[in-house]
Amino acid sequence: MGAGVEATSEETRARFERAKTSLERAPARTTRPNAAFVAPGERIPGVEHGDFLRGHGTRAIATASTTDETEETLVATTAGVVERVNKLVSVRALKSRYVPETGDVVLGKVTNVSGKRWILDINARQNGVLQLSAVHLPGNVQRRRNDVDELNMRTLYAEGDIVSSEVQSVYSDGAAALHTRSLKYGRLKRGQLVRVTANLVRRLPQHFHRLEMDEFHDSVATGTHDVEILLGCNGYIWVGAPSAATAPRETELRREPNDAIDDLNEAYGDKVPLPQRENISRVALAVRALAELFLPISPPAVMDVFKVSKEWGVAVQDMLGQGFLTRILEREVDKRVEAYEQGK
Amino acid sequence: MQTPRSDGRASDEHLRALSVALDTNSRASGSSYVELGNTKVSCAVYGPRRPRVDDLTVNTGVIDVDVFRVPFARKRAIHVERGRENEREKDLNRSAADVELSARIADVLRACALTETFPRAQVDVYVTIMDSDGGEVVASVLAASAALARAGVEMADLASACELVRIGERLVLDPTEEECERGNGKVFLAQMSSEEGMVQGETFGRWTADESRRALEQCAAGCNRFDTIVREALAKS
Repeated sequence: MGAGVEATSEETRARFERAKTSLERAPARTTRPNAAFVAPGERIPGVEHGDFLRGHGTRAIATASTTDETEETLVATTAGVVERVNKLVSVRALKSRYVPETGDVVLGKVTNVSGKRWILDINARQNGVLQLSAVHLPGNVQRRRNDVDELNMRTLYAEGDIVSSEVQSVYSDGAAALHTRSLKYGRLKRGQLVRVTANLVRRLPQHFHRLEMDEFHDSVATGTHDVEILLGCNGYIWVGAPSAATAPRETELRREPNDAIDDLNEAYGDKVPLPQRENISRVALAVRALAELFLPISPPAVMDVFKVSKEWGVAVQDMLGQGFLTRILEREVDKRVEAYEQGK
Repeated sequence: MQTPRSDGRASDEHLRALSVALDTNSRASGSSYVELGNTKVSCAVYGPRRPRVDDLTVNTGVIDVDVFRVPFARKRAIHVERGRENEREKDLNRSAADVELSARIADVLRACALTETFPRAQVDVYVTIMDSDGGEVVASVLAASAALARAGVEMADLASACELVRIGERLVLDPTEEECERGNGKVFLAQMSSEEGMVQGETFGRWTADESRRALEQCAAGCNRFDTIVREALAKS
């Protein structure tokens, strides 16, 4: 069908805009009557005087009322959408840096190797810090606390490596202490990193997924062309060939404690067969397309875009074209309307 | 009786058309492009991120502003005004006037942003002046505050700004370059509109108390009108 190949003509753009407005008007699955947009300095609408708990992105200011008592009103400090849970009122920015929380799965890029620790870029206000004492050495060997050990840090993670990790704690200035003390975490290979806004990735029970591709390939062994997707809470998303991070449970059981961290990678070598490469690119572009349209990114959503791109026969290089994006948007509108109709 | 303005505006109180586009730069945390008549300014905000120079004694956030002027921007307004064109500075494309402009924008932003919400982190604001026809500080402040809000930086209020020039007895709001050159007095005001707080004011020339009061009132009204347009643009995007 070749959608998206055509130069973004006036017509496609108009259609894109139409789809965008209808998405904005589409009934939401959860009806939020108070969803309002505010900019800094604006009063938050519908908040009764004094009857609120101050959340993120807001501040309370005292206003002189008609009586002598001072009243408090809530004023936004960020540009975003008003969210409320019971009495707690907060404003969520559409685009903001990632704010680390203990237990979050994050992906980071090593920017610096300094004494006893790695400095990682995790898309937050401050860098992430990965202490040498917070990692498992390959083969689970006991660490000898000496200088040789520190000198060998680069063999584990070097500058430019992408590392998956978990936030262990958050310092007072917002910097995150990370750890990779699990077989799930470690250096990522054979794939690509996609950066999106952190807000698009929700905190889920499971952030590491393996997308099964068997239905798209005939006569190959099960799982050969699978794609792994690691959703970092910080908006860094890894799309690559499967590794130990998303190994099925049986393999995990067979694993000996002494196994190397990326034994699966080693088993395959560094080779990625061509069909799998295409799958990886397609999934990565599906993520980018969702981010471009500001739609939440979850494994089912990514898989959905992946499937329709195959169904419609869109070439990999056309997946970010306006034509394809418009069709995805129109599809999303239809889905929301349908979900709303069913809910009624 | 009002004299029509040189650029075709009907009265002295009329502002030029202001258009605000957001998210013009996909790499930045927040970005904006502002057109105020023929004055065109684009702004990109990066961060809050780790400061390049980590000052352990500072516990609040840092805001850095850099102003660039593209070589084809209409005029180096302030240069011509003060009659000291410096060849070396011209080559560097970064004149003393632009450094001053950076400092002024930074002052306004520091007053509006809640720097305590991003301790020991830095926000970099890059303002690029694409074309200049008077009111480049006004356009820069509007662009920078919109981009800052878009980047999710916590702010007490959006900053808005307006200029006024006195030509003879007339008080001319939002003057063009040509009107600035004819004027014999100038007032600049930056304020937080919903707070009704004045952030920065600058006056050139001799003003009587009554005249300057009127000038400031008109500027404040201009600020409010610009503020509404910026807020609409933020809500629409």
